[in-house]
Amino acid sequence: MRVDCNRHPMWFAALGMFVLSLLVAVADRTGYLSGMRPMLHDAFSPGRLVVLAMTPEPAQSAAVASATSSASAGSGDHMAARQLQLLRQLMIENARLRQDLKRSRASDSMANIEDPVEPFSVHALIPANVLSSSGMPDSLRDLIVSVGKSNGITRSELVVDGSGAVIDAGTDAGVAAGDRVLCGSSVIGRIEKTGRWVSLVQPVTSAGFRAQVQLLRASEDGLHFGAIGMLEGTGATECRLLGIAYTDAVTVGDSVVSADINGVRGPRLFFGTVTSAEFLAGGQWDVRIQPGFTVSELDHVGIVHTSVQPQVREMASAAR
Amino acid sequence: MTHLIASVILWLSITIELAWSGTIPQGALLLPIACGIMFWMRSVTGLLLAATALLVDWIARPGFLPLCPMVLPVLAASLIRPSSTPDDYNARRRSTLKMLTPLHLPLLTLVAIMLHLISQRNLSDPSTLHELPSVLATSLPTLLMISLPVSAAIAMLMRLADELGLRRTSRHWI
Repeated sequence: MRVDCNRHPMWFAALGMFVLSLLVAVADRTGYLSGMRPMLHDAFSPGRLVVLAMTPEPAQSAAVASATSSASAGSGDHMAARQLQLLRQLMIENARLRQDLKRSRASDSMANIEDPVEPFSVHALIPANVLSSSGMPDSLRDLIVSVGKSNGITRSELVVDGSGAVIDAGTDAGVAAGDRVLCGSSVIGRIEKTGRWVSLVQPVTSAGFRAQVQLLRASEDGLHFGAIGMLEGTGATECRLLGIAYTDAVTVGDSVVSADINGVRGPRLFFGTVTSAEFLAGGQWDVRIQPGFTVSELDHVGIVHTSVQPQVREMASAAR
Repeated sequence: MTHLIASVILWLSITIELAWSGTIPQGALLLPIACGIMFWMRSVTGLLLAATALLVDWIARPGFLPLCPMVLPVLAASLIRPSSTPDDYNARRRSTLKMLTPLHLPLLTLVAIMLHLISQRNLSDPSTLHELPSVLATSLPTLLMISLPVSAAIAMLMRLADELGLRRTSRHWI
């Protein structure tokens, strides 16, 4: 009998945790916890970084081991994904070359002054690991990645899948100043909030996401850049494309690539594929886009970090 | 002091899982350790500490529902003997149910892992329920390969601590 009386506080504690967990689940569904999640990960980060610092080699070998095991396990899917990515990259490069040729024929001098900001900026890909993702695989709500303010990450920077091509190619790779570096990476989202060691990513499908994009069409004559529009997340599994006038051509299967990166011309990144295009009464197209990344493959990502060229920074500091 | 050590161990197990997320599956380390702390401390504080760690882990890495912090404390409350009475290791006085006492911790860990795997699925989708047995069959062995040895090690450590008198019984159960 004494034991039963002793059990009461434990039962109360267990029931209390049950209710608290239910409340937390409700708060998560209503989005109240998205601000708290980066804070929690930041609190775990010192320990995580210490563990990583203490065991650099096993982590690397594990990464290699997991990479090889995943490669052997799903080698068919992996190869297909690689080929698709390469194809995407080649398509974008082909279209870019075609456009560059057209532009250079029209006017060389005009091409040089078209985007005066471009030579001052440099894009780099900062690699990061996905620490957690909230939402179910078919409806990703947010992601936490393992880089933050301490890595120079700022709000609104684009996040791409980690298996894409390297975009910080330099002169060794034959890239000269003023060239647009191309990339076959798919855009996952945008940095919404940065902590000291972690950042919260807003996926392309979330309701608040917006980015300027351009259609890329494959035709018998080759690949052509099409109309520029605004891509918006719908809060569901797809995105919509707005601002495409009725005079522009849109076809199901067209690729959607970035028009710029936060207003600065940079690498062309893959956003997705047009899955439906319906003509609206208001003189616009209602275009639906399927994002180009797979949630289940999101282990490593890259953040497209835009910064001022080091020479320009030195000149500015010297002028002061 | 025990509370502080338990908190640090729980925090460390989450950080290790986060640091080696590519190697250790989610919950493989935290779940047996949380269950072990519940059984080691045999108190309301132990129950709350472990359940809070599970809840914090769910907030950091959410699934569909936080089934582990919801259900595990209830199961633990029904299984754990109060800390005011020492664990009975006398084989002669044992009933069949009492003989299963050493298996309580691994069993609770097994239940915790199953709950964790279920909570990672979208339970609102009816098709997911049909896929659940196959998901359990594929993911369970991977988690158990790490969790069960950890759980067994904690169970043996508890027995050893009892033998050496390191796990004292307290009058209060809070």
